[in-house]
Amino acid sequence: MKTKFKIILSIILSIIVIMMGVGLGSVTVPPSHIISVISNKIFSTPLLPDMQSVSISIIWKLRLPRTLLAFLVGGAVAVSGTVMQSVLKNPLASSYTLGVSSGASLGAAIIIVTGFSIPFLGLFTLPVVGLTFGLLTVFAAVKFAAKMDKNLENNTIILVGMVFSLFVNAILTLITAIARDHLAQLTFWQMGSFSLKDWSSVLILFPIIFIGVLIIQNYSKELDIMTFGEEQAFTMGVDVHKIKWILLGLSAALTGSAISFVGVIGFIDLIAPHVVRKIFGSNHKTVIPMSVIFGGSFMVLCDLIARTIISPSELPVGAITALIGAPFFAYVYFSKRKGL
Amino acid sequence: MLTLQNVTAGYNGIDVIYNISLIVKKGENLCIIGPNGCGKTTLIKAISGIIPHEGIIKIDGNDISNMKRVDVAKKIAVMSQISNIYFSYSIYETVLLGRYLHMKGRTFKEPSARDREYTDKCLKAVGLLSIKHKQISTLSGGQLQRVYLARTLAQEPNIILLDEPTNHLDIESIQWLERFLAQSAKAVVLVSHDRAFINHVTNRTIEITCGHIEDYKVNYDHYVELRKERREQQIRAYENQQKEIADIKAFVDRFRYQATKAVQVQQRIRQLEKIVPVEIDEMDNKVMHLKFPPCLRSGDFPVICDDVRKDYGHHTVFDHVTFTLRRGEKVAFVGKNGEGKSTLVKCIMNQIPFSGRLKIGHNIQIGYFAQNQAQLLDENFTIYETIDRVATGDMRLKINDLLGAFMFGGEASDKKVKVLSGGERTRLAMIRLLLEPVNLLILDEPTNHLDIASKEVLKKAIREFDGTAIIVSHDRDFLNELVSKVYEFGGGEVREHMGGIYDFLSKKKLENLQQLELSKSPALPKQREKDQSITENKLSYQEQKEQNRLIKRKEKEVQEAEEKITKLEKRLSETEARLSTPEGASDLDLLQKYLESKNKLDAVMNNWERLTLELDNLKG
Repeated sequence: MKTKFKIILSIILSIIVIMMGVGLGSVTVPPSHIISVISNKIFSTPLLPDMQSVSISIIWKLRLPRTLLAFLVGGAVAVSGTVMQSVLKNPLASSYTLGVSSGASLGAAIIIVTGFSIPFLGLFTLPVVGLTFGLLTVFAAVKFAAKMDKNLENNTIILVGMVFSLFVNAILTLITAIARDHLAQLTFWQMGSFSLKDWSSVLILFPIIFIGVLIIQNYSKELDIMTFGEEQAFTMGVDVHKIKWILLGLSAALTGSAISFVGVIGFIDLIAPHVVRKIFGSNHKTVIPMSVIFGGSFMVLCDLIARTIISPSELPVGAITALIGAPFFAYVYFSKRKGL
Repeated sequence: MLTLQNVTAGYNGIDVIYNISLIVKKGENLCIIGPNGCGKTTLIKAISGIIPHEGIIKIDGNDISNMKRVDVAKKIAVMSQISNIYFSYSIYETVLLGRYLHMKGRTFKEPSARDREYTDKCLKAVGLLSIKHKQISTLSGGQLQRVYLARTLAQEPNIILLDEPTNHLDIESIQWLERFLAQSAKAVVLVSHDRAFINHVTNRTIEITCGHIEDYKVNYDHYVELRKERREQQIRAYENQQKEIADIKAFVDRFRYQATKAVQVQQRIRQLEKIVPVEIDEMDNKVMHLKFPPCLRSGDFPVICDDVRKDYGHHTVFDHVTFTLRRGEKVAFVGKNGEGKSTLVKCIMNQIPFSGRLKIGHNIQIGYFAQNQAQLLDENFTIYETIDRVATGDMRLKINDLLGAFMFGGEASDKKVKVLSGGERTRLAMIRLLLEPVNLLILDEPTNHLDIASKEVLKKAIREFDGTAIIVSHDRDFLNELVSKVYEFGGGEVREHMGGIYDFLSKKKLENLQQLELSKSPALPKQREKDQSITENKLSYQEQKEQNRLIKRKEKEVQEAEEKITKLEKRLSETEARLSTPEGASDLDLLQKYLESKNKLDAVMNNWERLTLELDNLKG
């Protein structure tokens, strides 16, 4: 089958990209070394004879967790973008439209400025609070939209989401303006970065994202049907209201948990679904897993560019994705206009 | 199978239909008719559960409010109107989605072998099996409608609801859908304004007027006759009653102050109170008034096409199109969807480039009604504003008159466009045609969403119009006796046929009889097999003899039933007459008897209907 071939090819490509992500940088490590280190750590097989302990720690302690985290985050936001676009039937929608990012930023800003830390959570106070704020914003937005419009129409959701997002952003600006000392820290958080992340973030994020994507995958048929419009979906036996809530919540949670670890990284949620649909068609059974693979690989690439292009200093990865994403956004928008 | 008890429904708290009760039985084909904006679509939406309702809707004895969506969808399927496609799927994938409700509960809702098989069956039934891997975004409107029909069938429902299914279909597809629905063993509830279509498909007519329904167990043509009779009867009964009331009143007035007659007067007054007034069905008799303003005389040949050709990329839509229209001619453009009717119209309008020579005559002013004109209206304007924005000069003073003529008079003109029904929008869009005098009318599918009455008005107006008219339409009844020439679009050619639409169709049938036989849609799994076997052409002599005997017997039965009906009707009308007298009105026994015999009549009627249907089937 053609599609199967494409799927296998993308998986191979994504593995190559991950290898590049781990191998390239100030110190270049050949793939054989990477494989050797991984199998040594997991299966305790002997290392290749000519390896230095420095490159072992670079691979295992720095690059591998960083690359895997980038892959997870990219995959999570891409799936979340796919779901949002299909549910809201708007090719420009994403979780960010509903205020996840501004909510999470606000939460993060409060923690950064106050230096507050919840016992037991320690370093994870920031991600947990960020996630909570992000989800609260989305929940408030959708709840408010439901109150305004009983049918919970997509345009209402998008508009209310934007209003909430702007409002929360305004508060964030106020906080930033008052707390000048933390300006740099706040700004960098909002641009997103994968630097200095270790295995703990990967181990926490992995189960969340894995389960989230699995549940969404289980709703792929409903997603297919809902792209035909809600009335049609309703008459075909889909409980549109309930499933809309579940899917919006899930995708907000995916984006929220991803960005609360690494900061706001935009545009992948917008690009990935479009590219994946172009290549694999609209069927969500393939689109969702392929979004993970494409989004993840793309994020790894962007991170690779961000940390190597003006090495040894590092660019914020959010800027790289936006640099590539903005023209793409414009392309999609205008080609759609032409089609009308 | 489907029961409605006192169902009330509407939008945003405004009820459109009230207290509707209805029972639909298996195998019945219902048509819901009524003027634009009377609540036909509302009723369909209430039944399918898209909008909330008060009252009870039951399927096979279960209240749908207590059922899961999946279970409702297993019983009732709605054939959707064509909508925007945001993300494209293949035909097969789209139809397979109809099986969703049978896949629920499985891990990742994987389709089973039976699901795939059934999907293929449905695709075969609508004749799309050979192109099942095509993307739906590349299909024409008619094909897409077939895909949706297949998806609807894939749900394996008992009842199919269709809301204006013929809007985007070409004549051939309409005729195909007609045969398909008429043969299907499922109950069909449809809303349509295509008179010929509903006459062929349905055997029961539900009329909605002022939010209420009237039930007629006959097809549309019969309904029109019955409707007239019924109304006349009501008027007569009403007049009689009025006379009676007047008599009693006169008696009361005359003897009110006479002590000797006091008892009698009291009695009469009580009698007066008891009279139940006969109601005449309110009829939405409002129809729009439409007359095209007299136009400037144009050149003798408004449109001359000489070897016109249009390509989209590598695809040639049509080639060597050569024809000449004379002044005052009314012609139709017909043909399958996607064969270039609208494209040629746009060429004439000089909206798109083409090759070849196309000459527009001297002094021509074109009035153009685009296919999606009604959809292009800005939803946030009121009706008045919509017209006010485009009207210029003297016409501005006449806006209110025009709105009145189009049934948007008074407060209605303050309605926002977004609350209008499909038909009302079409009407509104049509007003624009009248704002300037034109002498060449080009109407691209003007009848979509228009109700039958409005269509008649439009037809009359076009017939009386002294300019030239080009009409793109798939509505046989509308085109009949309106156009004198038919241009058939197909296979990259445009062929001219002299004569009306039915001449054209009958000619077409002769040409294509052999093809038709071949392309006859394969039988659906649940079609009545009996019908099939009987219509077999090659019946042996024995069988023929047998059949003749059957026909004779049926004929006799029908005759008997008819006699019974006349007898019952006679008795019924006698009782009715007695009931309408003051004495009879208070007699409960009599009422009981009346109701009983009425029920009996209904039963006999049903029986007769069944028998005649069987007889028709036998005769083939």
